[in-house]
Amino acid sequence: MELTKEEFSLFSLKSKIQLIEKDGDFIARRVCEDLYLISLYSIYGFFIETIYDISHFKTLSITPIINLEIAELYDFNYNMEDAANLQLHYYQS
Amino acid sequence: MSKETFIKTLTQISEHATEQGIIYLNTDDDTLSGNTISVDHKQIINFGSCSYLGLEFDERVKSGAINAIQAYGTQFSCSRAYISARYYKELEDKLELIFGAPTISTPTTTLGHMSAIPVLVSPADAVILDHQVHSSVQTAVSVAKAQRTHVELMRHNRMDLLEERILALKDKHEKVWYMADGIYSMFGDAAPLVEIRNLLDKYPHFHFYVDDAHGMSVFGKNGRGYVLSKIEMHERMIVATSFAKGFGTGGGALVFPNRKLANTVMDCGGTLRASGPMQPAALGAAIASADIHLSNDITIFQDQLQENIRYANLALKKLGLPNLAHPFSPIFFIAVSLPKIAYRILNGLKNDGFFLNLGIFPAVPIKNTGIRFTITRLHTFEQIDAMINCLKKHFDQTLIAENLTTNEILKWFKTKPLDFNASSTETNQPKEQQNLNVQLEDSILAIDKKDWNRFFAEKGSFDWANMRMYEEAFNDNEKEHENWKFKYLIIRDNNKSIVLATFFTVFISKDDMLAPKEISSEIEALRVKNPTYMTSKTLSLGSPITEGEHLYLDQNSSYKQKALSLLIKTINTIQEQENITTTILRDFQNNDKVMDSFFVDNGFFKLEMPESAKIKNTVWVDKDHFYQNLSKKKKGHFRRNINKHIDKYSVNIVDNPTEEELKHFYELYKNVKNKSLELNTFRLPYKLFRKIVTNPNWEIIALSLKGEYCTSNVEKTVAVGFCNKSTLTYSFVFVGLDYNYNFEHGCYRQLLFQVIKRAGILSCKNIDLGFTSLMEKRHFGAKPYQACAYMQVNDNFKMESLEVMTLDTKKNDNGINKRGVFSI
Repeated sequence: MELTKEEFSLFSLKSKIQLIEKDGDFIARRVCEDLYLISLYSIYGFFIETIYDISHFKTLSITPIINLEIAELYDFNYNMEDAANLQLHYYQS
Repeated sequence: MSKETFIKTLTQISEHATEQGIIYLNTDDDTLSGNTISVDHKQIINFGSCSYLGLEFDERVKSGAINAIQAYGTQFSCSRAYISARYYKELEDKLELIFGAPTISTPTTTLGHMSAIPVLVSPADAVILDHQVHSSVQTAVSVAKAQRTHVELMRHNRMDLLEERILALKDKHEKVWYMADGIYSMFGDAAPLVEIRNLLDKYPHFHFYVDDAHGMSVFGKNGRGYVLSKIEMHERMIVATSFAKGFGTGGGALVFPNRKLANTVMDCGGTLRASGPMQPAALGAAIASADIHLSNDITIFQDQLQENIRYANLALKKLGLPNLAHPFSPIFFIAVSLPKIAYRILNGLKNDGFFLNLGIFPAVPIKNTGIRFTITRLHTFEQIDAMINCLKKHFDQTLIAENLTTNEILKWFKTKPLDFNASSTETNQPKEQQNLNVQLEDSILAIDKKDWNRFFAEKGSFDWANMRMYEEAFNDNEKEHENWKFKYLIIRDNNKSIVLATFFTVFISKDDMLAPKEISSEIEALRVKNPTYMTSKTLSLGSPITEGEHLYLDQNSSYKQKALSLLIKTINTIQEQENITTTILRDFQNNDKVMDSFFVDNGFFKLEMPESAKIKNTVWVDKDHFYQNLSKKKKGHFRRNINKHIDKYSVNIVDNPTEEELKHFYELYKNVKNKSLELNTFRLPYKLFRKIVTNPNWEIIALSLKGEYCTSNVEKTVAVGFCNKSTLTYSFVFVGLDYNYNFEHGCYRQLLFQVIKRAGILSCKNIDLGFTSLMEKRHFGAKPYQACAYMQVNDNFKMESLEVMTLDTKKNDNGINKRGVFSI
């Protein structure tokens, strides 16, 4: 099932993680102030950002992106192997 | 529907669903740990569990049960009136914290109802049952009815009617109880609790008893249930609930507004005092579950479940599946209309790895069958997605195969899902029935006379001329129930050969037609003020006044099956056009398994018609010859009851009666009609009898009692038979009697003999003597013939109202009916 941005936003953080696991595609990741890992995903034809608190091993938010220029902030040459490991860690937490 | 027919119908549906592998399944897993079960050695995902929070697999709950068994063994076998296992007190203390009110735990919710209702409700009270209240509440109320409590059945959630009835009953009864469910088990809808609360505040006589089994744990602070999440406990409200669903343990509870009332039910509730208690395993598990309910975990679990419910609702909406359930509840109901459609979809789902439930009669009307499934906290989005996609696949495939559309299905439910637009999702376009031509007419004038008579002239009193006569007689009458519509269906193949022919009648019938005469007698009293009370718009194959094979079907045609499908389509069309509630397809052979299966698959249930009496292949020579051919016993009857009186009568075949004579004959008919509450139908209009006397296929046999036997000393017609004649068959259709002379001079028996004699004189080999008085007719050599009918009721309410009334037929010492059960 494909959800719209509005429908996706109705779900809790935990459910959004489940939806990303199920239907999302990882695109890129960036680190913000060495504290937050921010990941970009594509899901149901729109993009979302997840903000992960590195020190507390906790996902803080998952929100659809409205302004696509935000993609310029990402380094698309980021080591994908590291990203995959981090992603695993992020789900397990 | 009689109790016997009800049981037969349920058995028939159950057998059919069992054969299809839909119900009475067994798991074959050695262990269970989640929502996957194994049936017939195949892993399937369980979408039929009412354990909405999945607490049965919570280690704390499992340990609670195990520890209690280790401590107390498998049972503590003593009535609670004597001594309870210590776990009871611990559990009930915790339950009081959950519900915020005094609580008694019970071995099951049903036993809770059986304890509480007979204690709470007195003979001076009135009980109003919501039509869809759980059957366990209705069962408990039957105990109250036995003590002569007034009981009414009310249409589902009709708060306008509820207030009306409170006002009507409050001065005659000490308390007026309304009994309902918090969350209803089929459509997952809820009782309108705020309105009920307002009525509790407004009327001091009004009391509310609610079963919140499906709301328990899923809703409210500490999982106290749907009811107490919406309204606070009221001083005149009792909540019964279950631990066998969201709570995850088994058992139930009764929540009271005060300790005194709780103690009264504990002291006086038979099944609480005298039946076995909850056993240690259930008590231990319930205590652990109660602890979870009193922790923050319950909120997390409730939220997780609601997320799954939200996801399932979105998926159903996006795929255009007609979900009729309410969006907040974990119960879902996909409208499919006919049992055969549900069987096919459910089997497809089972083969693809999903177990769902069937929502079928009597929980819903037969043509409101649905796929019922539940969502629990344990389901994943992947599982929900996969199941709903699979459901969509089988739903579409089945509708294409059955030549149906979603919109056609929804017409039977008289409702639509919220924001539903079937046309945008309609992938199931019906195929045309090829090679057949359907002719549906409103008058016999449009039907070829030869064609019609070829099939029906010898089948009963419905040849072409008779049909025309009925059309004229049941038209343009003052009373609504005396105006019938006739529909004629002819289905031809490409060669213009007739494959199927029949006719239908649309008329208003009495719902109590087959009810006990005591019930009909009371309903008739109410009809004096309200003539349409307990009546329904009915569609009948054939008509209420004709008997015989009304359906011609070419058994050798290769289009036979297609023609039958078109017959069903035509019935559906007429039902919709005429707003039909009850459909009856009558006079079928009673042992035709193929027809049984066909009609049951199409949402009909089978019922046996009253036996009718027939004499076949008779040869008349004279009275003596007739007498000699009777058995010894029947000869005795003939001598005592026929021959003894035969000379008292003059017998006339009246072809052309005067208006005065006909009016007298009609009065005699009315005498019989007024006494025939066993088969309670509307009286036929005088106009019909005026038509009969001008129809050469009919004649009247009038028996006049000679003057010396009459009180007035003047010869008088005391019995009259209206008979239809064809080449081979003589039918005794209507009877009229003067009961003042029947006992002493045996005029009914004499009339029967004269009918047989007349048939013989006309060389008719077959004599149809009709329904009722079978014993009398057997004395003349008639044999009983049992036909069957297939019935469909689109609204269970009236049928169940009659059932409630029938169950409550009690008489007091004076033989006066003391029931107080009416439907509203």
